[in-house]
Amino acid sequence: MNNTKTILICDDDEGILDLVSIILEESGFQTVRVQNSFEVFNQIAKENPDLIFLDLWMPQLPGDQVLKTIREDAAISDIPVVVMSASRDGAQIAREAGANDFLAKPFDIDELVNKANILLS
Amino acid sequence: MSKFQADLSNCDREPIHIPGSIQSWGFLVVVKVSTNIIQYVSANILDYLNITAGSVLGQPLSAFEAQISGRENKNPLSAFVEAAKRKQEAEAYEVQIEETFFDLLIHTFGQHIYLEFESKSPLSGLNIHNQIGRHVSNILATNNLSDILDRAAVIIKQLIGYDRVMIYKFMEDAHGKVVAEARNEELDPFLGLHYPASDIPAQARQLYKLNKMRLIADVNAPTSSLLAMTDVPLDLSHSVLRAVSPLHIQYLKNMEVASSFSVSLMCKGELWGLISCHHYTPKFINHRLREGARLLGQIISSSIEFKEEEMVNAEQKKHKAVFEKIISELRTGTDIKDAVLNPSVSFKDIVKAEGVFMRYEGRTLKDGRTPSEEQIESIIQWLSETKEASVFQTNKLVDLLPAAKEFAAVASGILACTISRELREYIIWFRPEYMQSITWAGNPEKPVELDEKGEQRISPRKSFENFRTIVENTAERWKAYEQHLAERFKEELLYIINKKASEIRALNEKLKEAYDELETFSSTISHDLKTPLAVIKSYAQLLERNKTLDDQGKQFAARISVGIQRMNTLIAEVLDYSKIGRAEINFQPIDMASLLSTIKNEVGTAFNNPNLVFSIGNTPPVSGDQTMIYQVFLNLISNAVKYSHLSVPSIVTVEGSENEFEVVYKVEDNGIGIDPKHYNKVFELFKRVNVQSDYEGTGVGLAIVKRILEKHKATIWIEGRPGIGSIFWIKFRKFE
Repeated sequence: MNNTKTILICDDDEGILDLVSIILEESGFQTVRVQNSFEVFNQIAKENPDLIFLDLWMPQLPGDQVLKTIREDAAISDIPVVVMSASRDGAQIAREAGANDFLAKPFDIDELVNKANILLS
Repeated sequence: MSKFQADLSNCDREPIHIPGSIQSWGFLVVVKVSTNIIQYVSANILDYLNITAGSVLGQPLSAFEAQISGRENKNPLSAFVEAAKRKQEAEAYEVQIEETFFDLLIHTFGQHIYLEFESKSPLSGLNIHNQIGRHVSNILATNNLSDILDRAAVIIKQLIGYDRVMIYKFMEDAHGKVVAEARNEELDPFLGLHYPASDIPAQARQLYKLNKMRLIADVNAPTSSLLAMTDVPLDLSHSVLRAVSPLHIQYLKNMEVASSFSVSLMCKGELWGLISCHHYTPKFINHRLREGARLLGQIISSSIEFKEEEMVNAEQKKHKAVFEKIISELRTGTDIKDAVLNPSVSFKDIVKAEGVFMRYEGRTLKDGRTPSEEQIESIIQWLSETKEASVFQTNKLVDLLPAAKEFAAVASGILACTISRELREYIIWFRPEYMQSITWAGNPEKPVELDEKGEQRISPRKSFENFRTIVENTAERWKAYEQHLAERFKEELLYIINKKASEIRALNEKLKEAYDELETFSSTISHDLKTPLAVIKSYAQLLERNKTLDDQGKQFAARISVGIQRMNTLIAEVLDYSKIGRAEINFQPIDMASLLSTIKNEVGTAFNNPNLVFSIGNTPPVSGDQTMIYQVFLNLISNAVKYSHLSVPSIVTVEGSENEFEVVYKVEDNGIGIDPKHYNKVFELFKRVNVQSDYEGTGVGLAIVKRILEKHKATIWIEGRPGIGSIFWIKFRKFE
C-alpha cells in the first residue's frame, strides 16, 4: 500500500471511534474521527476520505440519512461507505440507503480490516 | 220468518238478532218511542189473551192498555213505558190480566219499547234474594278460582233445577272449554271438553255480551211470528223471548237437550265464558229465578276478574323473578353460561316454555325439550333468511315453515330473539303442541240429523272435525309480557356481550402497546448492549494478538471472547423472543422437506459430529410462517444433536405424519434425555435443566419454540426418559 488511504469513521460512541481507528491505523490507514454526525459533511469536504465507516443509530443525524445525503451529492457520491450497526435490521437499512458493505457489531477485527482492504483495492 | 237460509257454510253470517219470531213462552208487544203506537205484535198473543194480533197492531198503547185492564186491576202500561223511556235497564212488573198473572219486562232499544209478557207460576214467590245471599258467601269462601267455579255450578244447578250446569270458558282463539260442571249422576261428564269457536259463532258471542242471559225453554216448541206495521225487521238483541237460530236449535237437538239456559260471565268488559245449563226435558225458568242466576253470574264474573288478574300476576311474577335473578348475575360479571343456566335457575323459565336454545359468541346452550340440533339449524336458517325484526314469535310455526311439522310436538310455537343475524346467533324458546292436552267435545259417531229437504245440518261430528284442524300444530300463544321479558333479556345479553367484546378489544390494544414497547425496549437495549460489547470483543481480540502479552494473558483474553460470543447470542435470542408476541402469523404452506434438509446441512456443519446419524422421514407440509417454523425446527434439531453428541452413534430422527385434521412432527434423539419433572420447565424462559453439563445454551431457545408454536395454535410436548433420549412432539392443526 503506497499512497496512504484516509478512512473517515463516524460513530457517536467514543469507544468504537477509538477502537476502529486503532485497528485501521495498525493496518496502515490514516483515520479521521467524527463523533457528531452533523460534522461529517464538513470533514468529508476537508479530508476527502477514500472510505467511510458509518454508524447507524446516532443521536444527531442517523447514519442512513447521512448516507443518502452523500449518495445524492455528485461530488462525493462515489465514496465507498461501510455501515456499522449493532441493530438487527441494520444490514437491510444499510443496503437500502446505498451502503457498499455492512459490518455487524460486535465484529471481528479481521472482518473489519478485510472490508476496508477490499473496498480500497 | 226470516228469508235467510242458514247452513254450515254461512252460519257465521246468519242475522240471529232479527229472527222475525219469538219463543212461545211469552208474548211480545212493541211500541214506537215517538208515537206510542204498537208497531209489532207476536201472533201468540191470541194464545195468552184471546186477542188477535191484528186487532192490536197499529193501535195506540193506551187502547191496548184499556183492553187488558179490568175494573179491579188497572195495568198502567203507558206509565211503565214512560218510565222505560228514561231508563237504560229493563224494568220488571207484575201484571194481572183477568185471572192470569204475568211478569212484564219492559226495555227500550233504539226507536222501540219492548213489552215482554211471560206467565208467572204460582210457586215463584220464594225469596230468591235471600237464597242468593247465602249462596254467595258459600261460593266465595274459597280462594281458588276453580273451586269457586265448581261451587257456583252446584249452586246454580240447585237454583234452577236443570240436569246439567257447566261453566264454559272462552280460550284465546275463542274456542271453549268446560272448566266446571254440576250434573245429574247418570249423565256423562263434559268437564274438560273443548268446543270449537264455531260452536258459538262470533255474532252469538256478541249477543251474549249485550244480553247477559238467555233461556231456550223448549227447543221443540214452535216459535211465534211477529206481525209488523213495517218491512223493517225488528232488532231483538235485548229481548228475552228472541227466537233461537235454527242452527243452534239443531245443535241442541243433536245433543238431545230440550231446554237451555245461559248466563254470560264477563271479565274486564269482555265475554270470559258462560254458565251454560242443559235440561233434557222442557223446563221453563221464570223471571225471578233468571234474575237470581244473573246476579250469581255477576258475582262470579267479578271474582273471576279478581282471581284471573291474581293468577296472571303470579305467573308473570314467577317469570319476572327468574329474569331478575339472571340479569343480576350477568351484571355482577358472572360468565354468561353460568348466569343463565345453573342448578337454581334456567333462562328457559324467563317465559312459559318447555325448552330453550341459545347461540352466542359461537357457543351453544340448551335446556328442556327442544327440537334436534339439525331441526334447530333449519329454524335458524329460516329465521336469518326471512325475519328482520329482533323479536319474532308464532304459536303455529308450520304455517310459516312447513318443515316444522316434524317437530310440532316439541315446538309448535317459538319465541326467537336475534343476537346476531349475520352470525346466525339466536335465543329461541319452544312451546309444545297444544292439542295434546285436549279432550274432544261431541260424539263423532252421532248420526247426522237431516232437515225436511234431506240436507245435512250442523252436528257435533262436523264441529269435531273443524276443531281438529284448528288446533293441530298449534301452541299456546305468547303473551305480551313474555315477549317483553324475552326482548329485555336479549338486550341485557347483547349489552354484556358487547361490553365484553370492547373490554377484550381494549385489552388487545393495551397488549399490543405493551408488545410494541417491549420490542422497542428490546431493540434499544440489545443495540446499546452490543455497542460496548463490540468494544470489549475487539480489545480482547487485540490482546490475544498482542506480542508483548504472555500466554496466560492471551488465554484470559480468549476467555473474554468466548463470554462475549455467548452474550451476543443471548441478546439476539431475547430480542427474537420479544418479537414473536407481536408478530401476525402469515399462514403459508411450508415445504418441510426442503426446510429440514437445509437445517440438516447447517447443523451438520456447525456441530461437525462424525458419529451423527441424522435421518428425515415423511415430511408432510405444515401451514405457518416459514421463518418462525424454521426457527422452531432449528432449535429442536440443534438441541437433539447437541444433547446426543456423547452417544455413539448419535441418532437424530425427524419425522412427520398427518390425518384429516392435524400434522404431527417428532424430533427424536438418543441423548441424555430430560427428567419428566422438568417437562414443563424446559419451555420457560431462562430455565436450563441440564446446567450441570457442558452443554451450551441460553435458556431462551425452547421458550421461543413454545411461543412460536402457540402463535401457530400448535402444541408441543415431550416424551422420553433420562438416559434413553427425548422425543419432542409437535402437533399442528390443519385449517380450512
